[in-house]
Amino acid sequence: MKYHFKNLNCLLFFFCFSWYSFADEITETTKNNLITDASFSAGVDEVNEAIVGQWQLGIAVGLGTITNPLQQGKNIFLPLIPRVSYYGERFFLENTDLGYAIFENEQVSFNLYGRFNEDKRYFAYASTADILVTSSGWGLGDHFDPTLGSQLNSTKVELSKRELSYLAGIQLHYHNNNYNAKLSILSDVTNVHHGEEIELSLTKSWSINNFFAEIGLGVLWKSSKIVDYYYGIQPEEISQNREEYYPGDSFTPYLKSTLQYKITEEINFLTSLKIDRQDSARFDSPIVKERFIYSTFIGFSYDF
Amino acid sequence: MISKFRNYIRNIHLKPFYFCLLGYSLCSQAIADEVHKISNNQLEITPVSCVIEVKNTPCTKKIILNWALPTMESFCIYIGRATKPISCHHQQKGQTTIDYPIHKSTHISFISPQSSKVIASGKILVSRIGKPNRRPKNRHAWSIF
Repeated sequence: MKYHFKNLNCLLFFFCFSWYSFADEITETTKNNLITDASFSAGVDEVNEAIVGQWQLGIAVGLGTITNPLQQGKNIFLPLIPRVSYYGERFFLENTDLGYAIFENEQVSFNLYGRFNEDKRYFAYASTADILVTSSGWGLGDHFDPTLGSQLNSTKVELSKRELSYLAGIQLHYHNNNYNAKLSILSDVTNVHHGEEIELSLTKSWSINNFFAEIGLGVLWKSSKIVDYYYGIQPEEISQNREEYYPGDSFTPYLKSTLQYKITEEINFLTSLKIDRQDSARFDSPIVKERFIYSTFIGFSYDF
Repeated sequence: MISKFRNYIRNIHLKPFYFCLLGYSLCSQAIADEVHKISNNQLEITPVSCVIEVKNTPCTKKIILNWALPTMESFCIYIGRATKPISCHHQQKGQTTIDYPIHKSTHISFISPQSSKVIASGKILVSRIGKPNRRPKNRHAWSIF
């Protein structure tokens, strides 16, 4: 329980720092909206643009799974996925992703940006809260802890816990004609592993009548500090069938797609898929079993 | 209770640099707005907001500035980030009318020509009919993964 508080510090601080800005933006944009909402009609590009000052809340219910690449790790189930979104004049929030636009025009945004590192969710002691913040959903099921000794021998060698971490840094976002390209350079701000991540992604979306489709690809680089922290094996952690392991940095290319059909104004049918391919730095770890990670969801979303 | 709180504080491990960077950036607007609020008592802008009815046209309403400064001093009136002032004055209290096309929400500042300090400032809000303020989304709403 203690470490949850520690991990939440980052968010708490972020919210505290941004609160005044947030409150002011809400006030200002509410004024603007009072003037303009009455005349707001069709034509708003709801897919790619957000109305400033408007909260968007939603929940998706269905069958969601993230396969667990760890040895004997059980898959993560996501039956409920909440969504909270807010865009101020500069500030934005997408669930636990936070950002602040230093510069923004019709095609390019340069943001201060923060998000959770996702590796923690694969470990057994990842709680619902951990999964909620890293995967935007709830995890169910009893995970076997792959880092706690081997079941094949009777000697249990406990490994140090891998903590949840929050990354923050800068993001360059190009957005034009349904194309999105993002480059994020992030560093650990929670003093957990002191590592960095660089992510480059490209997505293209289509919106035809009630259908929306998006495909994307990207690559996520993790520094050796992150990979070593989550997937490395230290001398005090070795057992009979688990040797020391000091991985270097890793590249994880991925593909993803989303398909959505609007049934009513509030209800959508939704499918989403992502495939990550772990490189040797992660896959060769004694605690990793699968090279590919499949994230899938199919269900219905409701926008409040 | 106190020891729990103490432990909680001890457990805060944050990189001060990144948080300062992030925090200051996030706060910059808030600070600017606070300064604006404080100084706004000395400067009244009429109208507070302007609605643009035709696309790609500026707000052309005449803007009336009423000010009451704590002391008599010289200042020049700047609109937005313009480098040239609209006019300069040396009055503790006064009123002037500006006829200046404004395309978006803009700050109006009284700046001392001697010290370059902002003596007072206010903001006129500009919005468009039929088009609420919008921003590009960082990601699509239900792009889950």
